[in-house]
Amino acid sequence: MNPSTSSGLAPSTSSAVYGWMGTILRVNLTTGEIKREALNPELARMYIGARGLGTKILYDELDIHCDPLSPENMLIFINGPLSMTLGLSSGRNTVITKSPLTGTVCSSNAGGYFPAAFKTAGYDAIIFTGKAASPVYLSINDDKVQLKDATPYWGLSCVETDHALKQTVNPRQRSETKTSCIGPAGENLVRFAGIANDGHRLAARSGVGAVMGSKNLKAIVMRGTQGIKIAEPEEVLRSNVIADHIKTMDLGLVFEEFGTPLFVDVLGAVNAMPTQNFRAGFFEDGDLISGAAMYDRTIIRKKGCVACALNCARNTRLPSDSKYKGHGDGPEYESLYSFGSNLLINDIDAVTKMNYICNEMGMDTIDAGVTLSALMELYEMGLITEKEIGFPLEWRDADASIRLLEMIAHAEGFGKEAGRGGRYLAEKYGAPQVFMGSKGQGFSAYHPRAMVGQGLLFATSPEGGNHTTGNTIQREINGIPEPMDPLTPEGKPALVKKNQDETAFIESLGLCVFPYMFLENGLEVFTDFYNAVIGEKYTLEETYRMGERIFNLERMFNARLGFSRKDDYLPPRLTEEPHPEGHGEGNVVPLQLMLDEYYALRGWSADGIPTPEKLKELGLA
Amino acid sequence: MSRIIVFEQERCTFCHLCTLYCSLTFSKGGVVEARPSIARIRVAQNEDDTLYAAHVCFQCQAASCMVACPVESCISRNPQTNIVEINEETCIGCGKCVRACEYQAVFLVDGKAVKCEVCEDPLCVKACAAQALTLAEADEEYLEKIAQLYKEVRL
Repeated sequence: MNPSTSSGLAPSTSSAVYGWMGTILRVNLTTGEIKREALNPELARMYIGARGLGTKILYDELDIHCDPLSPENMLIFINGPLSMTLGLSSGRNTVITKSPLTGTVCSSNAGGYFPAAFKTAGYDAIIFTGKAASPVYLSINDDKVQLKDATPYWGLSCVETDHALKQTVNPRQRSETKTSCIGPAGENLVRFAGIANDGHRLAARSGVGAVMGSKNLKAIVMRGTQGIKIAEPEEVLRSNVIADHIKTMDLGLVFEEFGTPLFVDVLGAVNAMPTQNFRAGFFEDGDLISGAAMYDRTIIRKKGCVACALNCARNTRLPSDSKYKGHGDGPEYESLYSFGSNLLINDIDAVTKMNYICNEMGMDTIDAGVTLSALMELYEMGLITEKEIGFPLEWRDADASIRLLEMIAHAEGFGKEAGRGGRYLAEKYGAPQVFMGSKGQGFSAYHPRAMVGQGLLFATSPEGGNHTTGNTIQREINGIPEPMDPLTPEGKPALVKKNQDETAFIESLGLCVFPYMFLENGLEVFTDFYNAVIGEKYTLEETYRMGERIFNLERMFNARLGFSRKDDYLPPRLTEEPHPEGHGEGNVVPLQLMLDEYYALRGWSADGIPTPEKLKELGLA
Repeated sequence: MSRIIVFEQERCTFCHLCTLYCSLTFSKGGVVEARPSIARIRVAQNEDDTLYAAHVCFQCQAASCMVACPVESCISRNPQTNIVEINEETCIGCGKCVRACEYQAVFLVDGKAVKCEVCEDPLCVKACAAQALTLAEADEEYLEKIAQLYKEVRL
């Protein structure tokens, strides 16, 4: 890239609103009523957009005790003020709802190309309430908004739905028309169903797709021609220089080459790639499911989401000599763990196939994998047998895993029960300890016994096992900006608090967290960009405080439902069973010790509830 | 030969940054906007996502846009630079040039035809992190290849 930033673009001079589009769309699926309303500028100032603003809307408007799969739940698609404004991963949209997997507030986000159409159609958010009498999709072409019959598409995979809808809606503007949809998993209320942008990039986690399915909403199809106003364009163009900087960092160079699969090597090297339902942190066949293995077998070309210079996505295809067929995106590192090391499956073709099934069916690969590994352990213990499942389910059995994934997506036989998730199954079959998750959501690909800060992150994340709300990998594993012992609790509560608050700010801007994670001074960089886009002069203290406010708001949402310290939980495998030989041998996660310090730093009670003084300080009281 | 925006298909990652940044240059009314729908470079992918194309005028000699235009003194080739230019003042927005361009490199924006007229210091090139775009003189081989790609990967 050309590092020159001089563009000759003068600052904008009008008094327009910058960053935000200024309009929220409300769709009542029960009555079919569609209303526009102006974005409340005060709420936007306090909660920004995306994760923050969406959570605030949910907090204020939802009957929070509602059943997440009932018409009363709200499903919020939302952008941030920086979405589609710069090259540092700004093509992202967020989905907020009450999770049917965890019962907490949840926010799940996705890239792809749909975010471009969403924002340029002129909306900051689309808020769905109620339930349609029969399947519908929402069609948006700038200010033309219609609910249409989706019966012909019900049952189609996400990829098929994307193709079919693009043929039907705006056929003359096919390349500008983008979709976000559910597949059979969402229709069948699989508790870990996701929502697919462009057929295969998922807002995967926490069951947002099941909520969409419960509302009989198959898809949103959008095309937009509006612009996002930028106050100081010259400053925003500096994002190119930052992206260039990331790509010249040691880790950035490898990331550019391999995308997220590079973490198979990074985390395997420090015994932190969860293996066999978290019994171990190193998979001896890791090299068979690594980024290099993917280059050998499946990768066709690199690609990026819209408005992102990092290009971590990979277009892949199973080769003709493979036992399996298919093409699509990925797998990403998280799926190489969840279907690979976690199940002891060392066949990259099988892992790729399982990833495709999840994308096509619209299902989270992480919770799908954690559900399978819990079942394999239950099967090994003899607590569940061939009789219940319909076939044996041993470790390493790729074909049985593939079969079960398809049954889950289609709610067939035992699949219907398995679609309720790992926690439900582990409890039902008498061994709750084998579910590797927190608050009902499965852990992603970081073994907390080998990086105890990540354990604290998982325990305190608003929706349980979630690595994107403040990942500690840069500090604990990569030693950036300076090394930190990953095995000890010292400094971890402060690190986790900082990462969580800063990430809440970044995600509320409507951005992917990757550039922030790579940068040593991420908060500073994105505070500058936020100011440049919207024409403000916020200080670092102020933007940090916005993130802290948003994180505390999520905490309060959950606290109102009775969540407290008892739910900031890790399974005994992580807190009592010692890590096997290698890096971190004998280690466990000293969770209670870290929680005491963490709550004190946060200004929360010993039971993990924000104090009235803290809420007042954050403007939440 | 003139300098044009040269597109290397193999390097493209389909990130759309070229369209986003191009639109900043052509914003109007004192407000700079990221607005891909006014960009003079547009991206497309083929059905199975194996080919990408950034459609941008390569100032072809046939210039069917120029032939199709019913207005005298609207579309003409600049004799110094060899760049095909559209006169915004005289353009009536009939769209005949848009339909005539078999390479999908002319667009109708707010009632006027627009196309790449090669900026002096193009933002699309600066934006392209994958270095798929360059400002360069192109040879015959390139022109044949790009013409084929634009016919194959449609917007």
